[in-house]
Amino acid sequence: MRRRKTGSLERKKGLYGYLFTAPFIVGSLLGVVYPIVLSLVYSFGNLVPQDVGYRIDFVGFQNYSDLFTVDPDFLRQLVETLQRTLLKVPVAIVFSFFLACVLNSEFPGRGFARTILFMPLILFSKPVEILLSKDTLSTQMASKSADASVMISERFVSALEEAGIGEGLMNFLTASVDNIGNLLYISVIPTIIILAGLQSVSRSLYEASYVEGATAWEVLWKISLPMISPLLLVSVIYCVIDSFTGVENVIINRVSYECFTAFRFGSGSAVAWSYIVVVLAIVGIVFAIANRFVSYDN
Amino acid sequence: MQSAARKAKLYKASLNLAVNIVRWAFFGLIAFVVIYPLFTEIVTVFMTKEDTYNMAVRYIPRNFTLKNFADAWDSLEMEKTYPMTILHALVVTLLNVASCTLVGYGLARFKFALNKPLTLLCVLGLVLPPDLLQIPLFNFFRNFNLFGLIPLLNHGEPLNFIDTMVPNIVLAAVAAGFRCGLYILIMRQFFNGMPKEMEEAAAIDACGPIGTFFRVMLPGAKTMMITIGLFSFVWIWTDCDFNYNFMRQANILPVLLRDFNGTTADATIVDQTSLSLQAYAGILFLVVPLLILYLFTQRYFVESVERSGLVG
Repeated sequence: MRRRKTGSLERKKGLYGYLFTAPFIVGSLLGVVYPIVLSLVYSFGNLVPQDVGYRIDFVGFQNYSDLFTVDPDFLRQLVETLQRTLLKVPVAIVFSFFLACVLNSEFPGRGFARTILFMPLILFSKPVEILLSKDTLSTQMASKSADASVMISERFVSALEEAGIGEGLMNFLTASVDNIGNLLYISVIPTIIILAGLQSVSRSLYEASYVEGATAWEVLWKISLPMISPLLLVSVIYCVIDSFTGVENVIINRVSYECFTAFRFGSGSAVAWSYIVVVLAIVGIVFAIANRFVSYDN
Repeated sequence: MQSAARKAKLYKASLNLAVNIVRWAFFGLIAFVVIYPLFTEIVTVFMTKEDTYNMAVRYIPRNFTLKNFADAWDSLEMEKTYPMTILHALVVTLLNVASCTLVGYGLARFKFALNKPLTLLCVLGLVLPPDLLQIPLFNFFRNFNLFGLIPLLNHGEPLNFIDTMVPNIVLAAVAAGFRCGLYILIMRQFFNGMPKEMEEAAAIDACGPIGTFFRVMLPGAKTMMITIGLFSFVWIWTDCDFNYNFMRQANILPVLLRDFNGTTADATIVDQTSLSLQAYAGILFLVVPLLILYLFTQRYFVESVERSGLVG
């Protein structure tokens, strides 16, 4: 049997798709495709600056083969980044979901709690970091109170040592305390996305389920979670990408160093390209897996 | 009978209080972790130079002063810088929200050949290291010729848009600015979750796709639009990639703070202490407007929006 041709209504609707996405069709060509093609070209050569502009000496796959066979650091850095991301993302997502649920419930001081939660996004930004690098005073101010605080933390550590827990556990405890700030920072955006998602869930759904005798716990799993699952997927993608491209990421810093400090655009682009392929593969896998659990309403 | 009811009420109230205390303790802890790294800076900014040398002064200034703010204000020419920075962030944010909402809706609700490739490009744009974007985009806006059209009109010269707001505005309008891929993905996923029945009902009432978008879908998307607007404002306000690249000389706050050197009474002596104190004031200039903005917008995360208009 011959397949029926797609209805003209469907095709007409498709045209509206082009209309709505028209800005990004232009934008992606300018902001994504053009730079990415250019850097792909760079990655197969060495850029030589000249009086006017630059010249590219093509070297084939030299930059890539150097990266994977000669360079001692790249593969190690790649594996370390992957490991860190795998550990960080699930923790961050569960934490954000928990925070968003707590902040969505009614309690006195909720406004304050929400503001506190939002602050890492502003306080740990790049301009603040730059300003603090000009600062010579804070160490002096901190040293005034250092005696007290150092003693407390040292006592705490020695108390833990006396309690006889192993060194591994010690390191784990101190590392996780050190990482709370990091965790809070990465959780800000997912928490706000999830919170906004929870706010957009129709209240009648909750009313209906409570009338049917559902407990809060059941409502959480059967109403809230499925309803915000599309946004949960974006949060996961965001966390993965943020972990791969954040300022503290060694490979991103390396691209920046190669391009702007050492002026080796060729090898910098090769690093970036190898990295992008790996990251995209991971994002693709995450997307494919997570998308099965997302309930879309169509 | 009555006392049993009262007991149950008391039990419920005390349970509520206990839960609240746990919540407060939890958020108190988070507040400590978040604020502590900058606590010294925030209290020291109100001190005079003498106070910082005084070993007896730790957290509470003995000679309370706003001089550090005044000095930093003069040095950054804030009366000109603030309007400029706010205008820049506002224009970029509004354009970002408009373009990303449209694109997100298009990707979520219509089947067409470019749908999947465009979604992939969204993710790709986020994954790209910002450094890779800098040079091509800088060249594009430095020698802006629009396929050779501009030189025909402008005596053979391409236009130079560097150090103006144009690059950021153009990129925001075409949804290719800083982190636009994320905003598009958020809107796409949000509209994906909207009930299909709404669209069908609108279609039956003879509402075309454009009318459906503006009259049926947009009102429910308010919370989400405010969310991406907030992200966009905060990120363009504190961004150091696009701003440093396109507006290296412009009078906007993140750029000025990079080269911030403060004002000193005696220009010949580099006074590190006053510079530090003024840098703290600069941090507050940067942070406080965003906090105020957040206090206003967070109201929208509190009201529950009835988005579906469907019952059951």
